[in-house]
Amino acid sequence: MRIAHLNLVVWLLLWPWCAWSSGLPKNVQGTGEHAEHWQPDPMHEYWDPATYDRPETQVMEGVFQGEECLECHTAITPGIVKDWRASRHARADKPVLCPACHGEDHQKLTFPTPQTCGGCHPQRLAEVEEEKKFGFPSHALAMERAVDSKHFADKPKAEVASCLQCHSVATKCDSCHTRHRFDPAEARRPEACLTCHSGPPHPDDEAFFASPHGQRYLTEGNTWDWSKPLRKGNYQIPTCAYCHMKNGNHQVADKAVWKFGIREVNPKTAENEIKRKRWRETCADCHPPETAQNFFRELDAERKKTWTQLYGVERLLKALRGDALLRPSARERPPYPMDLMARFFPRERIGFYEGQASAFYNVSTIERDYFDLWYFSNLGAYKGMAHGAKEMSHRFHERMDAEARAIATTAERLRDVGKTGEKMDLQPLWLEGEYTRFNRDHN
Amino acid sequence: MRIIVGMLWLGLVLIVSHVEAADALPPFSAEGDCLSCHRERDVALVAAWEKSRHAQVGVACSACHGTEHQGAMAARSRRNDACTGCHQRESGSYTLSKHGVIATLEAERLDLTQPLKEGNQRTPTCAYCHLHAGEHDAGAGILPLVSMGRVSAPDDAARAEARAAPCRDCHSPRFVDTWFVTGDRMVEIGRMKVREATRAAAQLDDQESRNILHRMTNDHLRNVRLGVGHQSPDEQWWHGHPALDGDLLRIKSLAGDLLMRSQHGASSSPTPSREGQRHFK
Repeated sequence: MRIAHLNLVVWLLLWPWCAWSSGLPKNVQGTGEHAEHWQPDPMHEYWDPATYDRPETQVMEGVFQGEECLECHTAITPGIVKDWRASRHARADKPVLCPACHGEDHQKLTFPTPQTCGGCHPQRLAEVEEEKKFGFPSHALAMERAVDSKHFADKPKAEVASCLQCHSVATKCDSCHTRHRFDPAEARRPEACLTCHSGPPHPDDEAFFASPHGQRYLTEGNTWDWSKPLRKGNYQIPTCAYCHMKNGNHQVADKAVWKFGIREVNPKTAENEIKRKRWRETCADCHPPETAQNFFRELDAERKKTWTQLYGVERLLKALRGDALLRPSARERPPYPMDLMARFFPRERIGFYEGQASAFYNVSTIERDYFDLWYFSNLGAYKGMAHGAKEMSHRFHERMDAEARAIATTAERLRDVGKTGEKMDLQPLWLEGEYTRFNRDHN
Repeated sequence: MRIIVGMLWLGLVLIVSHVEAADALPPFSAEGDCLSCHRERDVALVAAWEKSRHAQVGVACSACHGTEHQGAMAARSRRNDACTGCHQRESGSYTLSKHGVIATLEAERLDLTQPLKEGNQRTPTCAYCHLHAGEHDAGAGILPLVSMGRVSAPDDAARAEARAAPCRDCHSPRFVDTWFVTGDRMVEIGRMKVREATRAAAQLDDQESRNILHRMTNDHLRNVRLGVGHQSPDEQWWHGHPALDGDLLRIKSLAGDLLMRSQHGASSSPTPSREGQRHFK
């Protein structure tokens, strides 16, 4: 308690000074809801070029037209030039040369943003922008989603720089269309998505490759003509982009029913019925209507069962919280990130609606165990089911069951321990330490 | 004149037959077979290999180049599967990176008979960076990532330079430097978590905390390093930092339990569940 109060006083006294002393030039302040709390790490400029672009002024002066760029860069950066020469940009009747995207003045060269690309590809840009009206999850909102999350604002920026390599899908187009070939044939293949759509909370790679669709892709995919548009009849089986970007539509959000699986959703709302209709039309490219109906029925049942289980575990944790058995308590550990109220009224966050998605660190073991159950196993089960990989989903459900049992056992032990002896102060252990201090000083 | 043309012709035939003879050599099984010729023909190359970790652990020529002396030995060693048989653990982070994705999708179009030189391949394969410019002391220039704030030592500066060289073949020097500034910090922050956990575990003497500390260093911190080195966001983040966060808080919980036991003699204490540890590489 004493340390928490001291922290509060020091924080209140120092905050204006901190805000002033870290006042780097305006263009290197953070962005988003917590902009005043953070400054970007150097790599940030490459992930969000529109905000942080800093033209290279050390190398070269002069204004150059396209062919002049190529004269030097064929020798300086042969790989880039070779790639560009193989692109449609180079083969167009009126080639799209370097200055179209980077500018002509070598002192003021810029990285292209989606707006730059939209100059020639307005329909694609409009499709991406349209995603915003559907809310999360969305490519177009991905950067906001990253920088507005409380753990992003709280953690050292070099640590969370790792988030931006994927979340920059909102701020540049080469996440999927790798430079400088920008080949649609490459972006149509599932691998183009998997650099980001992989890993514990979204094992889309595992789910797709384990599904009958993915199995067929793995055996035959290399022989298909990927220069064909993603339209009915062009591919024997669907890949990521075939369903999620049907007919090449760069708006990926209008069928997103389950919101990535991290919170419960009612699939029967009017809005979701419309989204479902879009799914049925997509599946109908190859399957009879019953296939999609059965698929949705199974998926709905799986989700309902899963959320019943997750809420059960949440109740268990909330009961422990009610009896002050979560140790370290919110008062004994670093304050919840970026939350002024939590500094006065610390409270353990449990579940999606209390914002536990940002509280996966500096928490007690049982809270983290629930985070792992909800964020990793649940999402593995969902992703498997949603991509037609039932065995994978089953495997993750077994894992969920084991984790839920382990949490119940831990809860019982916490109750046993709670009965014995008086409470001791865990603050010195939890508020000190090299990383904990560094995190406190570097958000 | 005829005599001169005849001599030239004969010379050409001799050269061609020599090359053919070399190509027609039987498969080599023992490394001594390769070294008996190449120690003289490729002095620097063999000397570099002898310094390498590969040489120390007995990975010799045929492991990467195969045993068929038919002119494709270099191309074979430039393929990713020349490395991934042994380096499977490391290859996952590369395969998911944009470099790895392009290598997978364009495997049939990558011309690996060309030397690993700027502009010859669209994307780097393992050998492009780790045996940059044919450096046979594999990985000499690339490992390990230099720690934040310790780049001043000449050895570290030389390493920092060597690890950036392959990247600069395709990326601007500023991009490469910036990547490593942030990347080094990202790794160092991971080390901070390991050091904090190690200190917190000073009084602990149980198998569970030893397991967690071992996993932090050998798996999760390594994932961060591999993620930075191979540009895999997934490995830097999910398999890296949040995994380390979980380890650190589990160690602190164990240390807290011990404190409570020692001061209040509580009979039983909650131990971290092992279930949550199966999600990461």
